[in-house]
Amino acid sequence: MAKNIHTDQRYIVGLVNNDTTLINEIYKRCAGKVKSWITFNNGSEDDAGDIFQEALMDIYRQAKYKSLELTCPLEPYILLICKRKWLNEIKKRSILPVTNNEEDLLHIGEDTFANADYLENQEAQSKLFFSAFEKLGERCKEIISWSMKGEAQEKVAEALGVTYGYLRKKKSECMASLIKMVQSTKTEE
Amino acid sequence: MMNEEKLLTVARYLEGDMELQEKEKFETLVGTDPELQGLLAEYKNVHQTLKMKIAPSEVDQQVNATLSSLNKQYFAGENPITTEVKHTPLVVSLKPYLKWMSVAAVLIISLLVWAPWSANLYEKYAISKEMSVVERGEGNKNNLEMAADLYNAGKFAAAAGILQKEYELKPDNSLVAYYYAVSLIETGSVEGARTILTKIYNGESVFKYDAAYYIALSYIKEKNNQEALAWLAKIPQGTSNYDKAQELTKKLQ
Repeated sequence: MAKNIHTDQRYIVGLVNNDTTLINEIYKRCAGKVKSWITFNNGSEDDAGDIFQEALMDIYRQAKYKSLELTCPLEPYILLICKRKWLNEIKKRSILPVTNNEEDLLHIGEDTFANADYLENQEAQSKLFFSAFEKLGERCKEIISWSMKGEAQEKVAEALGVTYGYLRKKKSECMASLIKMVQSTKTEE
Repeated sequence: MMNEEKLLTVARYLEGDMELQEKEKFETLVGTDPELQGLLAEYKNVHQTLKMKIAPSEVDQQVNATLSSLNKQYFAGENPITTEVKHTPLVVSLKPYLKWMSVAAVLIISLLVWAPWSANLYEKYAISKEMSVVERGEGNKNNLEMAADLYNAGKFAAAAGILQKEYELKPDNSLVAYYYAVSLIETGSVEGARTILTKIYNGESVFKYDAAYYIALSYIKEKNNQEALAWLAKIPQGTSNYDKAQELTKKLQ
């Protein structure tokens, strides 16, 4: 599917590059709205700040590690993500929301919902993958963490007290069993 | 190949656990096997997703730090945010700042050594900011009242002028002597002031320890901490300036 990348993608790129001018621009455009919506819905300003930061970090990670591409304008996108995050949060805390649906978001386009859905799915996936990882044996977890951290294979092998050849073989096996575990969790659902 | 076998092949391929020949063979195979293609994509997806959770890079933390600092600005509790744009970046990664931080550290250390604010200790610990004259004459203000007004308005030079005459007339009036001396310190005639204050200190007036305190302050003004400390030590417990004297002593030591 050919994607029509929105011009606001530049903010996402700015976020990935830790470009403070652009990130400040994101805050300028969106922070006020998120703050007033969350405080209107029984949250504090700190809650609003936490939700906002969390949303931006989610977006950042998806963009950096999984090449997220924005096909909708940034502002309603962030607003929608923050609203959903806050609605989840107040469900957890059993606070009653003032507006608990998205009907007040009439001005938000389909594409924005699709983008926000995508981010949410990615986050759900991330949890699922991590729980599969947690079920692996200690040795496998160790090997996978080390290699993901980008340490040199030789160093990892030495640290774990195994040979380089064994490590390479074991790593592939561990990753294969991880994927298998993910597949079986998916079919269970 | 069974799924499990294929999975392991994909893992070995992506983890670099294949010799060149096997690798080339695999790459040809992928082109014609949609299942392998699917597995490759899934593997990469799981790998990247986990990587951001298990092995966040340093940059991730830097971005988070940027956000934290902007959060303070935009979600700052009671302070409503202004829509002012700051054109200078607020936070960037720490690394380029390390250099400046060390420069700042050096500056702070040299400030501590130089301690320009010790001159301000005089200002901070000054007492007798108000000169009050109990006897208020009727009609025209007498000289002492005028001096008090000038003194209280901070016009120490003018006050000193009047007080000097009063002091010459009544050298035993400790009130006059005391405020005359303080006015002199304020106008920079520290030596003259100290002579007067020492005289008060050696006497038994109510200004005895105020005088000692001001002698100490006059030495602080000249950055002679040793003398200042000696005079502060003369102020006994129970007198009104004792607490301040103790505080100052701690600061000077």
